[in-house]
Amino acid sequence: MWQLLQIELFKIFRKPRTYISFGAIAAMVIIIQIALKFDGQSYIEFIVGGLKDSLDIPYEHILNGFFVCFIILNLLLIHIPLLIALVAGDSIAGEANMGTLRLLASKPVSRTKLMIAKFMATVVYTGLLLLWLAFIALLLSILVFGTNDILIARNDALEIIRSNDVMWRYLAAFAFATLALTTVAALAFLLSVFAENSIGPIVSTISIVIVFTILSEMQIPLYDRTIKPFLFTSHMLAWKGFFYSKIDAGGSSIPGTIENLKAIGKSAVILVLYITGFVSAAIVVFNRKDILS
Amino acid sequence: MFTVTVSHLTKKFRTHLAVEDLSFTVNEGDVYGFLGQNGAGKSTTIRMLLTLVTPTDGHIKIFGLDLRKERKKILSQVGAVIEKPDLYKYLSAYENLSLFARISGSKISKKELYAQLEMVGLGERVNDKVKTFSQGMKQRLGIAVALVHNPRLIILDEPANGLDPQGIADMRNLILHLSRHQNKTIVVSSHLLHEIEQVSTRMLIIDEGKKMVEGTVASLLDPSKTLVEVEVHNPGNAANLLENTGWSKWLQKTTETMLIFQLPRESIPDLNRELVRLKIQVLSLQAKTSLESYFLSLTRSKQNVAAFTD
Repeated sequence: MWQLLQIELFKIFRKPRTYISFGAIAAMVIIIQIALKFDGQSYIEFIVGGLKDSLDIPYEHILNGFFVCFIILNLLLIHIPLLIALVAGDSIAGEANMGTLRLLASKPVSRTKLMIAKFMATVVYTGLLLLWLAFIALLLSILVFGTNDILIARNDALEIIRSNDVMWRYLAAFAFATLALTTVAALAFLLSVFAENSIGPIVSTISIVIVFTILSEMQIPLYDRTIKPFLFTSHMLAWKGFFYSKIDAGGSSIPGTIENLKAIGKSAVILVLYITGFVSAAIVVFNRKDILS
Repeated sequence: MFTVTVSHLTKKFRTHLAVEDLSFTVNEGDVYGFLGQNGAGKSTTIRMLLTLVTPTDGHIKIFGLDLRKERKKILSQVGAVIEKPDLYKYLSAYENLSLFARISGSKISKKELYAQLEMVGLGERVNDKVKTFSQGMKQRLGIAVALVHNPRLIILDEPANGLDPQGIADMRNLILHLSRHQNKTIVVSSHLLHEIEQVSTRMLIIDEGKKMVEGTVASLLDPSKTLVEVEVHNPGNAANLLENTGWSKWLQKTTETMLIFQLPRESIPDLNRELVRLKIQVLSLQAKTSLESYFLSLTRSKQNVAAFTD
């Protein structure tokens, strides 16, 4: 299995297409950083809304590396699934299109092991993409903007998390984001089994994510109980929960706490179930598939 | 001992019956030709031998082992080039070969991999990406990939496809070399009779998924089974005239335009003389080996299939 995983990783990272995602993330993050460096105050005013007139806002303290990273994650974690689909959607369909799938499947390796190795390689790719995002969005922002307390806007209220209470929240958020994006990877992986070229699964994955995200965001009471709790997109943004701490009697956030850890845990379990379901289905379908490409 | 035993193999894709009740055996050391038109069921059969396609019915044994139960063990001793030799275009020849050697479970050294590439004539291009290769070079790399783990059985599906005449000749020589000097068992499919004829020891003709004829090439090319097609003005009348002669026993079939005989090649001049003596107006006379004739009858018209019985 380890050897198969090595081979799959070797193939992924020798493919030029793989690096499009890393380049795209770097470009988007740097564009946001430049914008905030030169016009960060306007963005903060937009966030605090009507409170800007009643509060004396210390813009120079608020616009720090932690805050910039939080903004970047809010903006990008919705779009990164598209980059994940590029590689995950290509994993089986790309091989079928190239004609190498028949050669691979005629080797003395079980199809189940082959699929697990391919999925594991996709998970490693997803993890590395998020590590890259963490490096460039968090570390580069810290280098450029420095560190300070972080201002979190939630439900018309503002919460301040102390700078020494932030780093672990980021680690947890990135770990959760890896799980969320692995769900997208698993979906693209499943769709990839049905296709003979990678365009189909990539476009299908993106379409499903978009439709589900719209459904997740729609404020329709009927859907709130019936559909939304079951959509994986409703749980993908649960990483934000790590930045919502418990509030003491004086209205200040309590360091080291999470307001609703149970909700995050529930979202994680649902995403794990989705991943298991998608990958299991992919393995079953692939094991029964006649390879005619 | 049979290297391959196929029993009553059937494959149905929804409503299309691609292979029907196909049985054959491949002996150890054979170069087994698998001949048929495009769409005859050759590739589907080969894909079933390689577990790419699941049979609807029937059994396959390779090296005496059940392919369904001992897949891994069997495939570790099988090398294949299936249709086009598609490989990873963004990797070099060496990287492709090394990758497939590892997947095949081979612990071959770097030096041996280079030697393998040298053997197929790619010694100068080991580090070049496959996307820069010609079709012939890709085919040779495909062969190297098939051979890298030193398999006992080699399966080549249409290996001459896309090759220039020199490439075809090289492929033929390689097949003969592997068979004669390395004692490999080879199954080679083609829609070209002369390709199969030149390399095979035994062959099978398949059409519409069914076995038409199987045997040694020598027996199928047996001159005592020459098929003679005689085009005459009135075949019915000619057949009546021949009825009271000894030639009627050689007459296989009468069509609207032809009398079809199967007889030893040396008897053709005597047949010709007899036709002249009986004042039968002969428009043309064509003699073919039975195999050639049979295969042509398949490719020309399905109606003629019955004209030949093995």
